[in-house]
Amino acid sequence: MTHLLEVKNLKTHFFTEEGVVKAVDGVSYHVDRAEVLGIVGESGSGKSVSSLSTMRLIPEPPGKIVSGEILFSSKGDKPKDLARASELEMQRIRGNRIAMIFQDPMTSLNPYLRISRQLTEVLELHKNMKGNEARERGIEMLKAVGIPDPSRRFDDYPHQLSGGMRQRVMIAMALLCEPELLIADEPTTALDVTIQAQILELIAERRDLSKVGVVLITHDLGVVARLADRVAVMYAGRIVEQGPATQIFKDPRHPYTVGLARSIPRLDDDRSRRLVPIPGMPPSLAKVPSGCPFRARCKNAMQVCAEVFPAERVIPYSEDTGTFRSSSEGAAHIVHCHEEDLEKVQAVGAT
Amino acid sequence: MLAFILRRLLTIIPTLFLVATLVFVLVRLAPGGPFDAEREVPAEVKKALDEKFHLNDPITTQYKDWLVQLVTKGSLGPSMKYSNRTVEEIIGITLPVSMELGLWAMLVALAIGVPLGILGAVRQNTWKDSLAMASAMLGISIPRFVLAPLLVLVLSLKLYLLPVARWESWRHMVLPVFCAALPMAAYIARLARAGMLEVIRSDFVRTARAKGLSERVIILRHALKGGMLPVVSFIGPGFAGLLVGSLVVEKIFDIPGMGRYLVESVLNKDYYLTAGIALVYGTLLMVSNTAVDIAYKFLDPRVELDR
Repeated sequence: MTHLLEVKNLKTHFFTEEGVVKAVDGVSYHVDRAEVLGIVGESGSGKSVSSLSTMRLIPEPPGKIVSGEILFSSKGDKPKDLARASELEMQRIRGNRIAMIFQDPMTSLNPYLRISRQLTEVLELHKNMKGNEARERGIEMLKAVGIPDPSRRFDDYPHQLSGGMRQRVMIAMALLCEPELLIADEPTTALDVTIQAQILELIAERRDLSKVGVVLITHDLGVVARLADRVAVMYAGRIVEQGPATQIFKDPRHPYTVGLARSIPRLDDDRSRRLVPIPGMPPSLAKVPSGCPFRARCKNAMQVCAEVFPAERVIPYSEDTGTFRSSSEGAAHIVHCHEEDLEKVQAVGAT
Repeated sequence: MLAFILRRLLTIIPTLFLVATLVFVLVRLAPGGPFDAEREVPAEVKKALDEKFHLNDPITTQYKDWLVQLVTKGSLGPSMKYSNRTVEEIIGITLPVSMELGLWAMLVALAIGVPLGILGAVRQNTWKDSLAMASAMLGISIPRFVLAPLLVLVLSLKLYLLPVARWESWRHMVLPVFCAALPMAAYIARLARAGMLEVIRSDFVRTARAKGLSERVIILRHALKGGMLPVVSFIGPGFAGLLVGSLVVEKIFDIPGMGRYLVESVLNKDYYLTAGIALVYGTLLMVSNTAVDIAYKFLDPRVELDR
């Protein structure tokens, strides 16, 4: 089966005066229809750059997609490699087949234009709608994303709305043309917690109702736990672990994923449990060390970790994984860590 | 909006009063008087003149009389140099000429500067950008008193394309308007480029790209309004500066504008004329700044005028 989006070995580098910044350095993942893929990682791990690459919105120069494929299958068509698509082809896809929601709704809407203008221009561009038709469709969409009194709000300027409302407008704008893929780059980071929950709910609803595939980029494991069907953990421009969300949370294998899980509090935690931070800092993407980029912070680091980046290992599901969402059932749990090989070696040695 | 304009006018009046007072005092502090020509004036003539213009009264009395005349009759007093002409007569004839020159120069400056600035921003760090900005730098650096004679030399005296001087038909206007406009155009180009660059890097322009809009629509619909704000705020003081600054142009092209009279009145110690023209400039500056604030309101919906 072809995936809605399949990214294969993507490398996006920035050629700066300080050297080549390898923001994304060999990343592979896929998303299907009606599925949420959560990409987790800290600031500077390359998660935003990988999604901007999909939209081909990397400022060029200094950025460049050096290699890899971004295969997008619109409406079940033959997959198209967006990494090699022309600007004109991309303009037809952006906002139409693939839409994007950005982090900060305060700055991502144009403060000089009315909401109505910012919504209808998408319809005029991609759907050939005009005048009242576009207007009605816009108001309808505002209503669908839960904006009260949408026909009055329609002609407001962004500054007249609250942060949560603006993010709803952003989502409405993204969904206007019924895209097949939605890329949400930290959609809730700038919002307060109750609004966060509402926005996540809204995205989940669109996934279930309009079968849109979602790439959800976040540094917040809580957001991923709520919404994602599958998770990819990024570190220093690479995906170090990915698999069904239930698996990743139950049975994290990569030391970085384990560290992330231990560094956040849980509501059902024993009060006496101390949070365990991951020591050290992520490497600069201009000087990523050879081998495994996490090894400087990893207490289990071995000789081999300095030499080669670990190949992918498929992890069998743990027994009490719980229920999968149907779409992610059977998706492989993959980890890049030499420790997995070590265990295998030891297991072989024991027999 | 109306309340805002009224409030602004009310603040303009005390400011103008201050300007008037300062100018009135300052011109009198300079050594010499209006009738101290190189050639000695006969004592009785000078006495009669001093009498006529009340120059023997204490300065406070002169000031009071001048203000009373100004407020009650709208009179700015007599000119001391151009006999039998009042200051308001001189301003009434010369101001329209200066305004005409200034307005055209501003229009030309905008027409050259804004597209150049946008081009520089959109094609940042390419040869087009470098060329646009280098010519802007050149435009700012060449003083008008160098540019004007050069243009006259080439276009008028060598090629016989345009008249050398005077202010009669549109053909007479080309050179002075261009000379007055060029440094302003260069400055506007740099402002427009900086403004556009800032907006082009902003999040909402990235959003516009993510919608699939073409570069042309992104620039014209999404970036232009915000990018032009620095230019708009410059137009107010820029226009007033153009009126004052064009005195060089007026002098070179022998244009009967106000700038020339300002300089001459200062040199001649024509007290009332200097004060009158300064008042007119002050008024123009404040009115054009108010106009700019109102224009801001139309460009940026977040701006509130009720401060």
